This record gives sequence, C-alpha cells and structure tokens, in this order.
Amino acid sequence: MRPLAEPAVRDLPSEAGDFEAFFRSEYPRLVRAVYLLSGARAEAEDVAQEAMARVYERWERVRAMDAPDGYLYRVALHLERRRRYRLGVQARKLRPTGREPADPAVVAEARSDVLRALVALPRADREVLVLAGWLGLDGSQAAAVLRVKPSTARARLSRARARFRTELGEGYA
Amino acid sequence: MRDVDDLLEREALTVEPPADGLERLLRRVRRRRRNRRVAAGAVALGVAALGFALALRAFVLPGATTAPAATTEAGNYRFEVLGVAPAPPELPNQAVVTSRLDWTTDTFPGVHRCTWTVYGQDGSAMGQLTNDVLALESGHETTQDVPASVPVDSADVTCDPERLDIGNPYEYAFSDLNVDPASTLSNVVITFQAEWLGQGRPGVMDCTVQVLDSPDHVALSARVAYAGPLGPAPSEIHAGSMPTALPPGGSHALDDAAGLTPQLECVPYTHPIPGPPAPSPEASMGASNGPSVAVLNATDQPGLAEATAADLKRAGWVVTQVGDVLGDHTAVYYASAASRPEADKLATEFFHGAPVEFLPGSIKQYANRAGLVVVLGPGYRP
Repeated sequence: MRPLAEPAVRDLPSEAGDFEAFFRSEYPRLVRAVYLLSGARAEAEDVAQEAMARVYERWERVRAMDAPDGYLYRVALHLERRRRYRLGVQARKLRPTGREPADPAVVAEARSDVLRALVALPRADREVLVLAGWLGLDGSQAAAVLRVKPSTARARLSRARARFRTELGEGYA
Repeated sequence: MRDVDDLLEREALTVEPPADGLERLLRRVRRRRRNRRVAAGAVALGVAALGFALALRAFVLPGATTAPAATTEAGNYRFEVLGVAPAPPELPNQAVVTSRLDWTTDTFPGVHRCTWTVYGQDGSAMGQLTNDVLALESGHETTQDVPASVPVDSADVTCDPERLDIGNPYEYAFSDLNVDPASTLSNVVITFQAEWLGQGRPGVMDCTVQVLDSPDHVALSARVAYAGPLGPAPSEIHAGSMPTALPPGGSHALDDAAGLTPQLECVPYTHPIPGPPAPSPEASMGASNGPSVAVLNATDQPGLAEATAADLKRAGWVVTQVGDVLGDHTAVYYASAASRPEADKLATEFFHGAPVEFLPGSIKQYANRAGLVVVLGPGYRP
C-alpha cells in the first residue's frame, strides 16, 4: 500500500492529534469499503471524506466511544445510502447481462466480474458482506453498525456469501 | 470456488486512496464551517445519539439561562405544505415537498428536529425524512426532497417542541482573531478559534464584526449571523467588502491584512438581521427579470467564485451569493422548472455547455434561495 503523504499538521488543532492516527488507520479501509458498497471510486472517496469530516467535527465525543470505527462506518453507510438517492445511481440493477445502467461512471467501473456480482446483491447482503466478510468486523460489531441483532447479521452473512457465489457464476468455481 | 473474502480483498485493493486525504479533509471542514454562516432553511446535521439528547435535556433548567435558549418560552417552526411534486428524473425515488416556513413566535426558535412525511392516495405513509431545522427568518418558502418510491399525494411536516441548541451560557468563546491574509477587498475574512460554551447543539449568534485600520478608525463594520462548531476549532466569518472603490473584474488582494485589527462581539440571535439594500436598477439590468444566481466554488482555487460572479454581473446577471461548496463537477442548477430556460442560457453562454440539473437539497442550503446555482467543479477554467 502506498503510504499516506505527510499531513498538514499545522492545520490540525493540537487536541486532534489522535484523530490523525485514527484517520491514517481507518481511511484507506473506509474508502475501499465504500467502493465495494457503491461500485464507484469517486463516490467512495467522497463519502469517505464526508464521513471522516463528520467524525472530525465530533471527535471529542467519538474518541470516547467504545468503538469509534463502528461510528465511522455507521456514518459512512448512512451517507452512502443518501448519496444513492441523490445521484440516482441504481447500482443494484447492474447484472452481468449487458444491460446498460444509467450512470456512465458505473458502467466504466463495472468491468470487474467481482464488482458486478457484488453490486447485484441486495443492499443488506452487500453491506454485511463488506462489513463482516471483508472488513472483518465480528458478528456483534457488524450488527451494531447495521443496527440488527447479531444472529441476524450472521444469517445475512451466510446468505450473502451464497448469493455472491451464485452471482459470480461458474467461471469462479 | 475461490474464497469470497479473498475475491473482495483483491477487488478492494484495486482502489488506492488519495495520498492527500487528510489535507483534503481539512479543506472540506474549513469550507463547511464557512458555509454554515449563510445557512437559512433546513440544515441536515449528523446522527445524534439518543442518550446524548436526553443528557442535554437534563441541563435545561427553567430559568437557568439568561439566553433565548431557555425552553420555557421556546417557539418552534410551523410548516404549511403548499404542494407535493414528483422530483425530476435526475432524482428518482424522491418527492419534492414545498412548504411555507414560519416561526410560531416573533423570536428565533433555534434548532428543532422536524419530520417530513409523504402520503399516497390511500392516506398511507410512503416516505419520511427527519432533519434538524434552523431558519434564520420567518415566512419564506422552502423545499425538501423526501425519499418516496411511489407517487405521493400529500405531505405534512411536524417539529419536535424541544429546542436543541440550549446553553447556559448561550455563547461561544472566541480567540486568535485575525484578518485572513488571503482576503480580498470584496471578501474580507476574519479567522478565529471558536468554542461553544453551551450544553446543546452550537447555537446561533448575532455578531457585529469590525475591522480597524488604525486604533480609532473602523474601516469595515458588518452584522452577520454566526453558527459555529462545538470546538474548540478554527472558524471564520466573511465580513463583506472593504469600502474601497474596486477596479472592475477579478478579485483584488488586500494589501496589508497584518495592519488590520478585527473585533468580534456577539449576542444570541433573536431576530433577523437587516439585509443589504436592494440592488440598484443599474445592477439589475440585463437579466433583471430572470432568477438570481449563486456562484459556489468547489475547486481549490481561492477567489474563483468571486471572479466568476464579477463576470456574470458585468453581463447583466444578478448574483446574490458567492461561496464555497462541495462538488465533483461543474454544473448549473435550477431551483424550479420556471428557471430552467435561464439555466440553459447560463450554461451555454458562460460555462461551456455545462450540465443543467435540478437543484438538490445538498446544495440548496448554500444557495441562499437563489433561483440558479452555478457550482464550479474541480478542473473548472474560466
């Protein structure tokens, strides 16, 4: 992974020093997680920036939480859902059938079979697959972010993995 | 079958987060704080924990504060729904609710949580949206996009009686006041550290900002509404123009910001601040019958919005707002269907045929109710 550039430390209030460490730790994972959720790189960066900005502005409270990263991902999920309304990106309609989706950016980025299979999943499946499957949040952490019961998160994860394999098709067997 | 998580990892690693992520974040935060100054209408704030809200309540003791934040006489917002319309094709699965927004008393009600609900023909709720509302004046129209997957027939808006910006004291602590060296003659910016001293959401202040060019001479004085961060954090106020004759075109640097002394005094916001005088007939020539234009800068080039606004004014457009906004492309936005022809004209004549789109709520709050909004996106060149 390419290291992050040295930040403009002079711009950070002194008490926000540990925010910088939090940012360095979570930002790359956050961008990639939102990318897997949305299927669009530019949107992933923008949502990740906005989520981090909101955490930064509430850092005194967020840093005292048991799981600041959980709060971060909850904010990012919320933003990504809202963004989908605003941009009209109906990524879930993307299927490997050649049908043309509405957003050219999504078309360009949907060349990957993995991504295409991912964005074809129902929203809930995709979220749990990214949070628990890729990010590695345990059942209770993922459940807290998704605001569901841990048992529900586990059941969704199992179902999502099966559907993902189905969407990928035989080529990945 | 390859492992699912491994496939996801490979796909995720195709994305390389930008190396300047933290710097961009800080710029974004600074822009947002600047834009809050002009917030009028619905402002969507972040999710607040219920426990925190309950804790805030515990601090609100009747008569415990001398500020208008006391909830014993708190007003609220009243929305009269004027119409519900489907959103244009650019915003699928949404309905646009147009309302008249009033204060229920003659003083500023503060921040309240309001809920828009849209209903189908059979009267069942088809969509809902909750925002924290902050309106600096009573009696104006406002629109709100509400998610709704089916056609809707009616809507209502209700607001919680609880005021969220409470405080004892209801005030900010300001320190490190300076005139931003990047200020221009037409846009003098005062930077400072701000910290909200109250217990609830940061409140709204009626501030008088003065810039002295000698110990006994006030070169610039302005009254502005200010809503700051929880802080302590950097903040800023746009104080307006220096009373100097400006040469036409572009933005003009302030010669010696270090020789200027800013002063800032604030009291709780209770009534609308009188606005600037109406545009002179000369200023309204040309597109005088057309909608007003807001120019918002989403690039990293300071002064670009001001320079663009100056060009538009020379061409006869009425520019009512200049500021910053987040955005990823250059576009001309229209607030109502009636403004669409003017938006097309503006895009064609000034912005190289930039896309013309319906004004989304995320930008509307920065536009000060202008009929047209131009966002100068990254990469924009005049």
